[in-house]
Amino acid sequence: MSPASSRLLEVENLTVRFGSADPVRHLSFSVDRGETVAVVGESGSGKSLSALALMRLLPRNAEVPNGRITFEGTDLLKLSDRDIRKVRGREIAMIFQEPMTSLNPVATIGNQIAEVLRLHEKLSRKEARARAIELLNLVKIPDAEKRVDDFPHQLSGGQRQRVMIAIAVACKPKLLIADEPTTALDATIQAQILELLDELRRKLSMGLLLITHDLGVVSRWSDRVVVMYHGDKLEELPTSELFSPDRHPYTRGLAQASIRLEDGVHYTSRTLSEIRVVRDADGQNDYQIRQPVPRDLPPVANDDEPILQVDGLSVTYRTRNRENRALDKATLTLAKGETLGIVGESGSGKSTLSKAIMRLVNAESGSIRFQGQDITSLGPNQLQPVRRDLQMIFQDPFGSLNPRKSIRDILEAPLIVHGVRDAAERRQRIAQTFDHVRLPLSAAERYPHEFSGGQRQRIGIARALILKPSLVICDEPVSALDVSIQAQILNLLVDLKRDLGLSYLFISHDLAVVQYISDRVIVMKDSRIIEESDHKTIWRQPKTDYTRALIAAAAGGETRNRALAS
Amino acid sequence: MTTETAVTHAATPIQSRASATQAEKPDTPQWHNIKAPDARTTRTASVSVPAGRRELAAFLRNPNALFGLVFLSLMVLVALIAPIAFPGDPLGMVGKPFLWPGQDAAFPLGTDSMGRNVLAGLFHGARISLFVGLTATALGLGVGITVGSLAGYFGGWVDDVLVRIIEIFQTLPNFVLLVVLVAIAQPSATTVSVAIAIVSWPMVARLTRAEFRAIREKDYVVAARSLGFRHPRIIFKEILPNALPPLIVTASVMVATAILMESALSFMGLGDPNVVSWGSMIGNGRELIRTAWYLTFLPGLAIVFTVLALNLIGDGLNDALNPRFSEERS
Repeated sequence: MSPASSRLLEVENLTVRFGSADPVRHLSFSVDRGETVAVVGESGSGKSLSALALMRLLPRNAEVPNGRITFEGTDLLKLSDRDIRKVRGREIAMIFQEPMTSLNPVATIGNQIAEVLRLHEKLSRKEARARAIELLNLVKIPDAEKRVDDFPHQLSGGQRQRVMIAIAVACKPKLLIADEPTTALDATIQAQILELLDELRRKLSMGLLLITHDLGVVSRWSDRVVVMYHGDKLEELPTSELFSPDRHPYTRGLAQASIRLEDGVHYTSRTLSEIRVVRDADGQNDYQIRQPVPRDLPPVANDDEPILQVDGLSVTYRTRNRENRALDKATLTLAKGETLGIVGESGSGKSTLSKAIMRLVNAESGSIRFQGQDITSLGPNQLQPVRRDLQMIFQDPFGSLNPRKSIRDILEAPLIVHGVRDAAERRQRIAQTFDHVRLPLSAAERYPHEFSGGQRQRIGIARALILKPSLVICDEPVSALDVSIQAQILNLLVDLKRDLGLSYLFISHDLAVVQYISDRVIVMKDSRIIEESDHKTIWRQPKTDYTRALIAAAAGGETRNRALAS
Repeated sequence: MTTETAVTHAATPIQSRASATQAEKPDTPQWHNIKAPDARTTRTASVSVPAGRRELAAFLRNPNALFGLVFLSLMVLVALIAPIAFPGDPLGMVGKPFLWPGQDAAFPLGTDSMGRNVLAGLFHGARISLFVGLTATALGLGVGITVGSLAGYFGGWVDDVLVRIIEIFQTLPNFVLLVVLVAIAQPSATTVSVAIAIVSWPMVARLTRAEFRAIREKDYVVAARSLGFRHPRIIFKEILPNALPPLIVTASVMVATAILMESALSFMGLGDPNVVSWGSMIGNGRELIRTAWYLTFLPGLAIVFTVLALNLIGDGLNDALNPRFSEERS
């Protein structure tokens, strides 16, 4: 095959413009037949916009002032609306991040697949249905003949994403664009979906354009990588060189800031690198990597009474006709100054555990002792002083701040509720807390929507710290953040733990993050705690098969066996 | 004054932290992946705090809202000065009947079939229509928001009981209930207002309940609970401001509906026969609509513009109370 004909897609000099801003500037890259190219970048890098531009699906107020997108010899930007519709779905297909919302909830999955088929090919209803079943088999949905008449809500998240993939590959497209296809999924499912995509790429000899922020995914599943930052392509490189030291500083920074399970980094041994982007006088970006100096941490005091002791805690959610045991006899202890990591997939009961400890849901049985006091059944009035010492950081930096209140109001309300009457003292406490989370006081008069995700998370942390708690429950505090922001927030949490003597209960589905920050780790599955160990042993000698499976999914094979591919 | 005291009281680890951050930032880095560029460079103690009143400023910058406010203020003024501008009974026969507007300088908007001054009627009618519209809405909103927020926030049996009560009211045809209520009580501006409030609160309650049910699950409400906020604070300070947009729009429509309901009652002759309202004027003029259309047109115009003004004010308030919109307009 000559090199010219192996080229599937060629993007040259593509710029996307919104009014006066250019979120994508002079982007060029190419995808060959049967090749996987990854576009990596953090939020705001323009990676998703570039993908939409390929499909000509940009929002109405966007324009493409220059550039060429050559797909199999035709320039997609010059096609009429009618012709581009023939390309979409048949030649180039796309799958999205959110499997919960990308399927139509009132149509069966079989009909949704058949709809695409009948749109592009002349098929009878019967033929389309048969093809739908075939496709469901192809994406490995068990019992395809029966499941074809299921509605989306009857499927799990992973299965829905499989259906999305089935719809995308229904017409055997030559190029599949996957925009963060596994970000919303659990680690074990994530690996399966990526494996499926890779297998389909080989079977159907598609080109695959993988858009992601996750360097782990990139290193395992792609051939080449395009790194983007703020609309600029910084570099293009073979995946094998992703972690080599002579890369672009930003790529290096991303690689260092992202934590990989196999590296075995722990907060006591080193801090995480933060990427610093400085715009110099002539408007050029200068990328620097900064690794904060690690400072000594006080050792965990083991002889003291534990700060938190949970014994046989069970929670059952009841609706009119259903009972759901969300937490089953959980037992754990947490020493002063210790960080206890809790890992588990969605639905494993880890969030219910945190809510039960916070007394946001009532326990059915068992007990919670906090600082020597049994708080399992305290009334609201007795609970009030306890709440001051027991605080929580939430996952979603967008949903956890009241959009109608200024940051000052958000931070002041807890003080008022907890009886700080003096306005000057309140202002002083707020200023102190701003210093703790490294935010300027000028932020106080602004509103949540004016901040980026990382800053909002800092505000969320500030709200948790303002009452000077001793135990902070962190419920997936970095899951919604970019890699470089994640590194900043994790460094901040470690600093705060040292400066303020905090203990953490750290919940996450990301094993690498838990490995970094925890002193001890608990694994949860199906509402139960199935394993508990210290932070070194659990990764080396996991006791249960489930933990082993989790670790395998998170670490994976570093290089993919591509012998079968060719 | 406050910002200067801020650092001195800080505990020792904080002071060491402050000096540490200062030491590592001599090069004033521009972190432009952080949106607040002063995040690393500005000492918190030295940042001045701007004064508030953002909502008011945003409201006054909105030309539509300003027009609505001016027109409504004008109507309120008209209602207030009616006894001074037109002393005596507006129902009194003061001139020749069927004088067209402009025909006689003494009656700029003409006279009706009984020779009553139309302008005086409009002035005195504003008193009743505005009173009924605003009172009925205030009562309806008060009851509706209270019931709706309790049902939506607490859920469970509280919700069950309150929803049953709402449904009892909603199954009765609104206007029939209104007529019955007014027929039982002596028709006066107050009883008419109360009767209108009674038929209009269930809609507000339903809307509030739906908003509360959605918002109470949000993380910031969970955060408020975990901070030990009491129920009233969560209901009124955390949830209610976020539930307001649909309520404000509803409120402006409710004032309009109340004015129209009062008009309808007066039109049917069920209003207070001893006072004039815009509705009763339309009712009286209806038979003459082909020969003297101005008798229905002028009070109708007053209703239309008042309702429009209220809608504009509602929209303006909604935008001003939303930090996101008021920011974009500035």
